[in-house]
Amino acid sequence: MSIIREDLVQEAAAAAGVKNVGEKVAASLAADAEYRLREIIQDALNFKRHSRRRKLTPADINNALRVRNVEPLYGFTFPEPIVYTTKQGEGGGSQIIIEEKELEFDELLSAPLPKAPVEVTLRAHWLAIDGVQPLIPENPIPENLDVAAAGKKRKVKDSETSEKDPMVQDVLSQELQLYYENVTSAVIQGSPHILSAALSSLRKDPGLQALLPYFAQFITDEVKRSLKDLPILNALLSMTLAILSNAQLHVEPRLHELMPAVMTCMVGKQLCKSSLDPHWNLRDRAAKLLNFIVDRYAAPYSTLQQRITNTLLHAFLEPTKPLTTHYGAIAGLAALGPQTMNQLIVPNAPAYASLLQKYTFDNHIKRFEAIRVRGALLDAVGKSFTHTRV
Amino acid sequence: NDFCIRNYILQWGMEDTRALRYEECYVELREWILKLLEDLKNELAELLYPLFVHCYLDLMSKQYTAEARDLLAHCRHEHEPEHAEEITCLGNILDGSTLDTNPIAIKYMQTAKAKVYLCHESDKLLTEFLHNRRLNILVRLINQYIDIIIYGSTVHDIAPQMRLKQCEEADSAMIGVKRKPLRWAEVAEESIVRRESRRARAAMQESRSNTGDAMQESRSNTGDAMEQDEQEDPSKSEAQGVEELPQLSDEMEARILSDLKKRVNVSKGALPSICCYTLFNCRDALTCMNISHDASIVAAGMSDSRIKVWRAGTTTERDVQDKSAADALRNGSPLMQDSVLVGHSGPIYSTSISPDNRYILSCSEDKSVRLWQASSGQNLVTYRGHNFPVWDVAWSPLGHYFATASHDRTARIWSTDHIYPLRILAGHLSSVDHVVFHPNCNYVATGSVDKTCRLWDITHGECVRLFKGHRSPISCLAISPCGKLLASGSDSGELLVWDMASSKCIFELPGHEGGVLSAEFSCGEGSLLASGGQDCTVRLWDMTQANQSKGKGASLRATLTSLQGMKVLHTRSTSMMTVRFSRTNLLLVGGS
Repeated sequence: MSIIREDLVQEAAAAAGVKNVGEKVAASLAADAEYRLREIIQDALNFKRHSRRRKLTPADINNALRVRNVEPLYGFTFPEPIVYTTKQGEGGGSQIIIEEKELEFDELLSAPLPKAPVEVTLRAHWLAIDGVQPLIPENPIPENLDVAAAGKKRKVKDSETSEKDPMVQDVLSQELQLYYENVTSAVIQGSPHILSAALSSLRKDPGLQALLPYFAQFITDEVKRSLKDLPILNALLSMTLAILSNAQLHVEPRLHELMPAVMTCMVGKQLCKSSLDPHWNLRDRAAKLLNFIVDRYAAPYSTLQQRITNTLLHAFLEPTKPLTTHYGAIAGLAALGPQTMNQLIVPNAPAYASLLQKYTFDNHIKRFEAIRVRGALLDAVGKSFTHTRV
Repeated sequence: NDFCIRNYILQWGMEDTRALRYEECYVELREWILKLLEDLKNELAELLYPLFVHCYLDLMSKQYTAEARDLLAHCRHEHEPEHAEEITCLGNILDGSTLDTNPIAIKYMQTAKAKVYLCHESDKLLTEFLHNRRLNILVRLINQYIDIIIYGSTVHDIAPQMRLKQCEEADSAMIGVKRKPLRWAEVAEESIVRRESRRARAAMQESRSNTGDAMQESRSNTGDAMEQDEQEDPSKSEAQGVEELPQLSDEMEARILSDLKKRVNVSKGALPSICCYTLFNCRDALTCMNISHDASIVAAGMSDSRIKVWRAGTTTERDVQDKSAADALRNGSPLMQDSVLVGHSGPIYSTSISPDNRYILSCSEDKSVRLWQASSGQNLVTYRGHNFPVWDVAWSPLGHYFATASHDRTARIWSTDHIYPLRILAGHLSSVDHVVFHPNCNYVATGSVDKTCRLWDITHGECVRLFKGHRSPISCLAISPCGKLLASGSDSGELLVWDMASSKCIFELPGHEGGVLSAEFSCGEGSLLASGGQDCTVRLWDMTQANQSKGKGASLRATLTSLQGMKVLHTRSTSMMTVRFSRTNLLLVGGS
């Protein structure tokens, strides 16, 4: 019945310098300690109720202690929630540990002051007019509520994003329009500094859902237009990655618009003005991004991987296509995982290698390209072998 | 079950028969029970009354008449609100020989054992306590007269049907019990209307013209009807409670009257409009919120011990109500922040805005109540008297007086011009959480953590009604404008409507998930009840049925019915801290 065990009392007594606490004494002390604890918790819950909160906070416990004329516990009122981890102890019981980060004192002192909290504001809106709820942004959308009521309660985050979807058709707010302008200009002509700021904003900011279709359109158009401009293509790829990694965004409906752009960056015939530019890096990055997309969306969209594989295989097995395309296809297939490599690259590798031999006698650009492709091919095959052996 | 009380009878058969021990034992047990944790305390407290009766009867039967009388005299006040009739009847017993003729004595000693429901945990604690303290007398009485039913291992095991059964049993035990009648004095609003109609009639007779506008005519008609009522029911007019009711200023009266003319009747067919005030960026710091009756002031108490006050529109505009709210809505502009009231040193737990909007009262964890001037934001008076955090404060419907509820298990009545309380209302078993004035100013209702509500007479400071039946602590209270219905919400989302005269639960309003944070009846006929909860909804309930049934006393005996919510209005994620009908029946709600 009791939560506090006798040995715990004995240990606590030993720590306080009292030895030889008998079992009976310990038992009655344990019961008493538990009673006090429950009393404090009960009072703390009372304070929580009167603050009309759902969460119990350390401040509630302190208030409860104060009511009982006990010194409050200092040092537990954190602004953010405390993370507890449970560890299995030796005796079978589990221990609960608070993980505490170590902070450098100098860093703490030199760190800039935290932002002042936003001022509390009051706003009024009509919740109902003659008993009917008007459809204004402040009120929840009825269909969502029905769904929520019928099914299980969805997380707030989910319902927020789904609530925002119907607003895509709406006129964009001025702030969002400005944001779009800034981001797109940063991608096209921005300095690396501005670009990285824009990308980090894209990665983290919530509330960009309304802009997603516009961004998707922008990426598609821009990839088509600046096919030979390597820095822009690189920036666009980074932008795609940033959008995809934003947890608040619901990208799936627009994925089909983003995919062609990524594929183009991978298997495009010529992605730079002179063939000496490092377009190989771009292809490698695109392959990595492809891997990321497949990892994340292959489960809900079963045809996704198949369609990608088909496109890439087609590019790979067509001897008339330039070597750059072949390189991208190999990199992409390699990125799709060892199984794909085993099934598609390895059987074709010997024939392809002989094809490559031809190019080694060509002019130096072709030769260089052939070496790169060969490197990629070897890399892929090697990887697949090490994988199967393991 | 080795620990069962019944086994102890053999072991402790020899009994200490000194008569004095009865009262000692009883008081010791009571003290112990009152110190227990809430849940256990509520259960075990049920044991006290039957034990008290049996101690008394036992003493009588053993011819210790003087001791019995002492016991009754010392302890009767604890049980009087609930069992007044029985106790008076018990008081009529002269000595042991008349026991056979007393109906209550027969009921307790011969008819059936009293039933008390306990969980295993409290049963074990009780047994241990009785054993350790050697309260053999009580052990014998419990074994002989009380049937302890164990329903589960902990308090939370109780099934709802069981709870209902308990309530029914308690109800059936109460049948035939007469209580002190309540005094239905006139509600302030009615008296204003009546005075105005008299004035209007006098004016009409003077001019001897029947061309007065329709409004006045209809008003005088209602006035006539009211006076006829009074003639039929003479008790109504004589039942004035508090003698020195504060007078409302003329200006205030005029404002109420103009509001009354604009009042929309809301009912099931004509739902009210709802204006929602939402506080942003306060991250759980908001502890309470209050909106004045004309929507011109919004006061929000914070956990950082500040009170933020917003004012709508210009104060010169008298019909601020619709206009300012509507304007603010149209422009989408936030209301003007007026002032921040700084003075408390702990979280604010409640605020109350005086009926004439001139003063604001606030109460806090720092044990004090403060009176602020609304226009300047100055702290005028600090009322200290409670020894523990003050949970709730409420103005009387006419201002001047106010009531507070505190963790020290009392509610207190104050007047603004005294720094000490006028009445201390003690009787709740645990911290008193909420307090609300009856519209006729004769009574206050309180709700407590002990899961009961009580109604107190202000003039005598005594408890006149006890409302039992909630399953968790009370979280809000509301009294209908006619003053005959009490609505109480609890932490677990229950909402019950009680008939005040018989202290019976007449309606159960299921629907809220999570605590009900506030409730209020619509103005005028009180045909709607609005409630707001932590589940981010505002719910409207149709109360016409309740209003109809309250006229006939007999139909109230009918069993408790459960009403379905008429309308549910969701908000995005605003948990509703306050729900308020303006005098024109616009529903004002607020939260964060």
